Amino acid sequence: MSRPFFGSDPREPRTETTGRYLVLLDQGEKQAGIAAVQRATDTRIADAHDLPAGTSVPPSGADGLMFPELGVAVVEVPPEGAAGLLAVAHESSAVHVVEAERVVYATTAAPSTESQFYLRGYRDAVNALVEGIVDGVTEKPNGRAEHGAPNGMGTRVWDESQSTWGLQATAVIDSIYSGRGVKVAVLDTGFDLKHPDFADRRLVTQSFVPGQDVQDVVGHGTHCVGTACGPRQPGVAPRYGVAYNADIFVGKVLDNTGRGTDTQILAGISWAVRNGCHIVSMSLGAPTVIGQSPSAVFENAARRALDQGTLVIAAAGNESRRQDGSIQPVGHPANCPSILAVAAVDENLDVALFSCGGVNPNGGEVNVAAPGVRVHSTWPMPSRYKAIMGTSMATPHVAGIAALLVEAKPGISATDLADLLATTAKRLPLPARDVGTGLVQAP
Amino acid sequence: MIVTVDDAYLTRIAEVSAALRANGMHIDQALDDIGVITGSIAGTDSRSLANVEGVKAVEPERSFQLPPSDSPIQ
Repeated sequence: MSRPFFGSDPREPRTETTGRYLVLLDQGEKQAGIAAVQRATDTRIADAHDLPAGTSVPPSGADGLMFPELGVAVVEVPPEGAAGLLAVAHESSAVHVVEAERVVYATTAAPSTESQFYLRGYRDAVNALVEGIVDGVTEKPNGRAEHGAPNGMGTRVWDESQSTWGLQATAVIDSIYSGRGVKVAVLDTGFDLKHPDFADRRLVTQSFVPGQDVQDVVGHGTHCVGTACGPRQPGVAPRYGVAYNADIFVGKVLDNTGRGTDTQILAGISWAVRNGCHIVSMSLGAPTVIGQSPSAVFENAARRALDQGTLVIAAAGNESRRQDGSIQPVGHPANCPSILAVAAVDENLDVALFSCGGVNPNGGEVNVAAPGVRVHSTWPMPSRYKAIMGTSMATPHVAGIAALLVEAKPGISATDLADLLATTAKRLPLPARDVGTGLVQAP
Repeated sequence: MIVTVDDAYLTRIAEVSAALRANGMHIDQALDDIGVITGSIAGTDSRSLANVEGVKAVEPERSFQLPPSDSPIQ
């Protein structure tokens, strides 16, 4: 959906005023200034110092109130007196400014849909103006190409003939790292072990679903493994995978209907830790409510995993409906402090409409964001590939990039790895509530 | 039920399992690496498990459900 430029549909907020006036006095000549105002408008202005603390309205008999510390007076004059007030400001050196008193309101956490629309249009127009001066692909100071140029219509256009937009936006395609020697566990619905793109990859697999093998019949797990660890040159372009040389551990913790239990997930985490996996990617979760505490079990489990060198990364959740103004809290278990919670951004690097946010005062912050809309990756044969969206798709981007970081910084602790993912993220003009420190970036 | 074991008991998880069993819990798995014991207990009084020596927290087990495969948001 393209957005109109600022200017074609301006929506200027109207300022509400009270009918009173604020007068800025010269700090050295306050008394002279007050005297001049009183004379010009035939008013009496009381000094706040003579009144009880907390007074904010003139006492009876007075028309105004002066705050000596600020050198500001507020005075009530009838409409015909306003001209006299302005004249004093003009003539007297003791009176600097006269302004109409405004009404102010507490700002809401989320601007109205209308304000967002207005602000985004404004931003897109400024972006288009700036980027229109520079042609298409530009060289950044460190020599890396910049992808995804805005097209002047408020949306970004990506050339996906060679690689997905997600790999471009996260600088994966510019990275020299491949995750070689790094073990990445993906806990999900399993994997399509017959997928041709992985014919030459060694996979360690384990099912935690009683009575079911690792073979993925749902698709979700196959898609996530693809994003995290897909090949550098898949059978069919574009490239969609991050850590193309990582050692893949597929843990089936969700059954063939996409259902799983805490027990299955915990067993999968335990297995990953025991096998020395550096990273565990979990594109799964359960909704939470405001005020809900993170699971003590998962928090302890994840913390112990960190102590043993395993970083657990999980999807923030898809319960939000931001188009309706609804931002839902980060789900379980991503809401655990020791688990890295991943939000989703779209191709315009806006937070995805479904992406959960850090709105819970009790845990549940979003740590980083990653591409999570129109994510092309593997799907069980014969489909071979599919493009879907979700924080489930954002999560394996982070897992794959974490693998690149482990290769780039041998011996890095799991805790430092989490910090590095957060601190090297690309800042976005979006609140931390929505994207944490920003868009994850490959080394 | 899911039980997380006290840090001090991480190397003695078998003892904690035995104590939980004595308190009526049917043990499914003892996940040594992360200090978690899973299982079930009949009746509603899972709070008795919280008082067992070596137990840090007890939680009911949650389940997860992906949306249908053809759903656009995953």
